[in-house]
Amino acid sequence: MNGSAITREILGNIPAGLVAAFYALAFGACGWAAWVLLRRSSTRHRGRRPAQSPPPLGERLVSIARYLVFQEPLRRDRFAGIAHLLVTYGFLILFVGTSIVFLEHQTPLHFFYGWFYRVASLVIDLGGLAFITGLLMFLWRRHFAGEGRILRAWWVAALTWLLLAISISGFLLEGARIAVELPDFERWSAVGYSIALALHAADVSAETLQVWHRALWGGHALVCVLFFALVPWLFFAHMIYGAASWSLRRRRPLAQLRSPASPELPPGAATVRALDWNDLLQVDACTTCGLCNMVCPAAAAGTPLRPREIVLGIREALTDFGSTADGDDLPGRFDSDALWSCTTCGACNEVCPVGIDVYDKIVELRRACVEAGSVPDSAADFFEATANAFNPFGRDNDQRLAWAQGLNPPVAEPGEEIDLLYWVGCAGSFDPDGQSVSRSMIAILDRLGIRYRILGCRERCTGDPARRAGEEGLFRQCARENIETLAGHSVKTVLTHCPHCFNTMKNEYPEFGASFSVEHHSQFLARMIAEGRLAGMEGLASVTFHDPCYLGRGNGETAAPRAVIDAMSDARVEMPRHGKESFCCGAGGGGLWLDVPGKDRVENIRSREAASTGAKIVATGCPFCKIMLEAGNQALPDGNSMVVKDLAELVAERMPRSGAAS
Amino acid sequence: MMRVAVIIGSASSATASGAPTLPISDRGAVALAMASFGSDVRAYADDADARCFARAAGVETVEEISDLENDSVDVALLGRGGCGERGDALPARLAEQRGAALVYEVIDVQREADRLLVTRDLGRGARDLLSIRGRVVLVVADSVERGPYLSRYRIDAARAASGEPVACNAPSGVEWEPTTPRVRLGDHASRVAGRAVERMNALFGVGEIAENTASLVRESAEECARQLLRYLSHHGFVEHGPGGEQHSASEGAVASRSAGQRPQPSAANAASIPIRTRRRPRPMNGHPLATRGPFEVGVDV
Repeated sequence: MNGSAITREILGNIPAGLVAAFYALAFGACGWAAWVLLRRSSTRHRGRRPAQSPPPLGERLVSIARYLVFQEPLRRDRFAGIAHLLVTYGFLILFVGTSIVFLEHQTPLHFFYGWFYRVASLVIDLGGLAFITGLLMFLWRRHFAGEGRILRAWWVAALTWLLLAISISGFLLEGARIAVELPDFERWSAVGYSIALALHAADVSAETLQVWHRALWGGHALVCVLFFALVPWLFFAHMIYGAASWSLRRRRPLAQLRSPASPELPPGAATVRALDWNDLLQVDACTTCGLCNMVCPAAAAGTPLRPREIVLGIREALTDFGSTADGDDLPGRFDSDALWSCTTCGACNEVCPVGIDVYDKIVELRRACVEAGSVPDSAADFFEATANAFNPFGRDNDQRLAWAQGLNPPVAEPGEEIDLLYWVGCAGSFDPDGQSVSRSMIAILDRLGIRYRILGCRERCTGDPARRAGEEGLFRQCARENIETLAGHSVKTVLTHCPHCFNTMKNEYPEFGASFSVEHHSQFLARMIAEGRLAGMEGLASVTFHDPCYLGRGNGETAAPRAVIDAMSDARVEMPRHGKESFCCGAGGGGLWLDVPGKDRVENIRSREAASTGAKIVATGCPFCKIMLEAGNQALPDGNSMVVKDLAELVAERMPRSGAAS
Repeated sequence: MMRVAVIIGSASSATASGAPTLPISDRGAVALAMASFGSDVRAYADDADARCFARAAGVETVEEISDLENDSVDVALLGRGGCGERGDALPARLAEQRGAALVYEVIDVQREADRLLVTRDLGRGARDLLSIRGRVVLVVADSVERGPYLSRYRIDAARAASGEPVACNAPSGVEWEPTTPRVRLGDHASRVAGRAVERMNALFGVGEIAENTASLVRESAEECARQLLRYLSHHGFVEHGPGGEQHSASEGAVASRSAGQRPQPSAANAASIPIRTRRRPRPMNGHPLATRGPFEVGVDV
């Protein structure tokens, strides 16, 4: 057969009027969609301009391409990842196939024949098959698998059913077309040819097939037009906004909280208008997948917080905002207990497949609550304690050195230059669980013969709990005062055992003029071990390590603590959730003082998980985590079954008394 | 229009750190005034920090306290700081000069059409509800409910707007209380939830029995009586006696405590911890047995 004969008549059997109507409707739907997208964009742009400029356009385009091709963020959930991959690639193939047909039909180009036609037909059919398979996987999960995190809303399922209608009507249409003449080369259209064979076997007449073909074409065209028109709405919009949101996702460490857009304006998102464009784009991008709900420790503990509902609530407020001048009271849309349940662990941010900064928005809402004066008493207590006593525990700051009695650590003289400052932190100074970590650190530093200083009573809270709880002004005051103190000593390096202090000083203080380096004690201990200055500590019983959120997920440090443990024990076991996917202890974001009642407690959940490993020791690298895990440990059915220790305590207990001093 | 004055003394001599803080009753007076009277309120304060606080709380007109003598007000609210060094003489003089009713230990004020409904704390959970017409001077109690939190941003903005020089004087005491990490409650939280009366009933097995009967005291009459006294003293229903609850001060410089126990102030800090850290009767939320009244109080003007 002549190669040019191996093709098909495009829009054959379809009356010209119907085709014209289709094109009119299709262009109308696309125009409508574009108008809606632009209108939504202009609504978003009534928000604040982001404080940080977006990445360069080229980098964003590469990011979008990588997102579409590799779909890395979806790999966490294998089933959903595969289904989404099938749907995306299937959709792209069908889109390219339809574009080829359009170009062949509406332009002078002529290429859709011969082998190209055969291969293209096969690829398009396989793409369609992948598309349907992916959609069926989604529908099975939605309607039969009973996964709790799936949002059971009709408008979410509507997209899947609509896409399924498009793809199935497309195949039926193809089958009806092929069945009229049943040419042999159409075997390459594997699915369409199979349907055609079935129709042929059913002995359907050519006239009937032509009628069916025309009807199917009309139906197919109609659902396609509907799809074009609905693209900017609800769940459909994630196809556009998802990739855009991903390309604009945060570049800073996950635990680093964003500063308010302008210090002159009241902090917080009292209305939608106070959020920035990126925030508003992100809420539009939400796929409602519910992964954030699944990993949220507050949700797991049965508190009212559901991160997805926060995002969807803001999206709803954004929709309402389009018709009002300033937007309504944004925090008032949410249960205040939900806002105060967040532990700012960042698990929601980490897991979000479209890069939504969920907990940043919760902190923005908290800031608005603080400015409105509506905070829980426990939050007001530690705010006032931080402001008046310089520590959130509300203890007399002159007693900051009480923990060091008998150790006599070197306290810096006013104006003395300091190469290495050991930052004890408030928990390390005032809480008994934290104090033992501080004492262990002093023992380690002394035995290693390291020259260091502490600030003693001039040390003040870094402001981390206040900032996470929304008291931005208080945090700024703490930051300014601490940086001034440290600048007075020309501090070069700060060593701390508290990941909250570590994160704040390392990532957030530079904005206020800090220029020192910061090291967490796990990094310091790992370095000492690598240099051979800490040795002979083997023989520790089985240990499991609880990754503090602000160290592991928040700052990407998961290797150093494990290196320290491996130097002491060859029986390290991991909890099911560890590393960057670790589960919170419940203390972050002011959670050490706030207490929103739930069905369970975050620390109890984590302690049960630790106990399930069978390890004798739960090690951690954060005094807050230690306090919480200790409490969770007491709540275990068999109580006190494990020992909760900080890395520094384990090292101090096991390092030789005559350590290799430098 | 009702003329309302709130008098809040000095904020500059409150904390050990030198950070300006108003007494609780002064803050409560401002919060009560703003909640009940809004834009009608004028504030009078001794120093710039206190004036900043009032501005941050939303009071539009803030004066020095010396200006008060020349002003005519229908309702005056004072906290302990407002009385300040002047003691009780100030509210008494204000009431006498203006022919006003004088009410102490006020914990709530509600404005109605032609009268004020004032709740007075009698201690031990008992309250009087007073219906007051005419001029009145209200001295706010320390047990007043906490008002809205004023953020650092608001206070700084008020300070910047006022342009007043702010001086922080040497400290003489503290008004904040040590905060407690919530985890120390552990799984005992359910046992300390609810109202004091309910928990007492549950503890002694009367009324609605608690689900968790593990917390019931099943001991001799003597031991039950001792526990009852301990409980009552813990909640301020009776004075602390030999059997009353005592705070355990840690022996050494390094605090020690058994697991699950709530942290207590160290011995070194005990002196600096204000009376507020001791337990007071919880607000009874209008419990019928605890509130009397309303009693009509009126001074025709």
